[in-house]
Amino acid sequence: MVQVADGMWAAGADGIDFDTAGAAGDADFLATLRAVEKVRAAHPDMGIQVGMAGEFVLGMHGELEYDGVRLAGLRPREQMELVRRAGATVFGPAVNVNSRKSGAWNIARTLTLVKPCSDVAEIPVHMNVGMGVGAVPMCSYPPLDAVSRASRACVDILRLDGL
Amino acid sequence: MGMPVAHAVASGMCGVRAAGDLVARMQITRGMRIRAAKAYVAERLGVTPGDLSDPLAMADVRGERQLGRITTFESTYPTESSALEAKFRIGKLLDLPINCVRRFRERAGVV
Repeated sequence: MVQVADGMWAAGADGIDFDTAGAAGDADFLATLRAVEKVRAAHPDMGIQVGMAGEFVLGMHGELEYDGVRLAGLRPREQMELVRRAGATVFGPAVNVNSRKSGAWNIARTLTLVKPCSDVAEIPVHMNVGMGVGAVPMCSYPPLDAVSRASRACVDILRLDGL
Repeated sequence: MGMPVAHAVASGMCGVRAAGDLVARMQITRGMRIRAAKAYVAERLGVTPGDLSDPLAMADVRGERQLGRITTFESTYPTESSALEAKFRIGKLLDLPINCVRRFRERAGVV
């Protein structure tokens, strides 16, 4: 991760996005946070975004900590705080959809889980709102009415900084 | 294509057509939240935060300040700034370090 970031910076990139952080659980998230620390130390002006894999950090190990905080089980608000402490400039929460429930149900769930994060964030929150996350239906070409409703609800109610 | 278009229409800032790229730069590089980023960019451009999402208003502002426009290319408007030339101006306007501009200066030997 650090090597890729160094290469992108050398090529003239403005920043890097660590996407789907924590997809393999707490050790994956810890590795990302440590990589962000190193990249920030090496490139103070680089934009660093950390986008999450889900609304809940899986405890595949269970006891891993970052800066004194156990990573297993963290929700978006606590995820965002650690991402900020590591040195990222943008946080991307992700909430997976339940494909057996309606669009309205998934929008309500997404807003409920992310609201505590966006209310107190000190860095921009760019939520993941696409196929299967952020209340957008789980398909390659999501229906536009469902996307626009999820998009607008996230911006109006969560006061997001980006999508 | 459908999903990005739906997002752009429902909640976007029109990107380079308006001032979405400038606000995004303040978020990405400075970690500013959107309200602060919009206020900063609007103050620098001498417009209101509401103007920043208006492609018609911003086309004029970007043209006057040579910040690059989506319809501006070397072949169609040879006397206007585009691409990296516009990034030099954007960095100066926003008082922001832009990596590719810094690299260009280093490699071209431009102070």
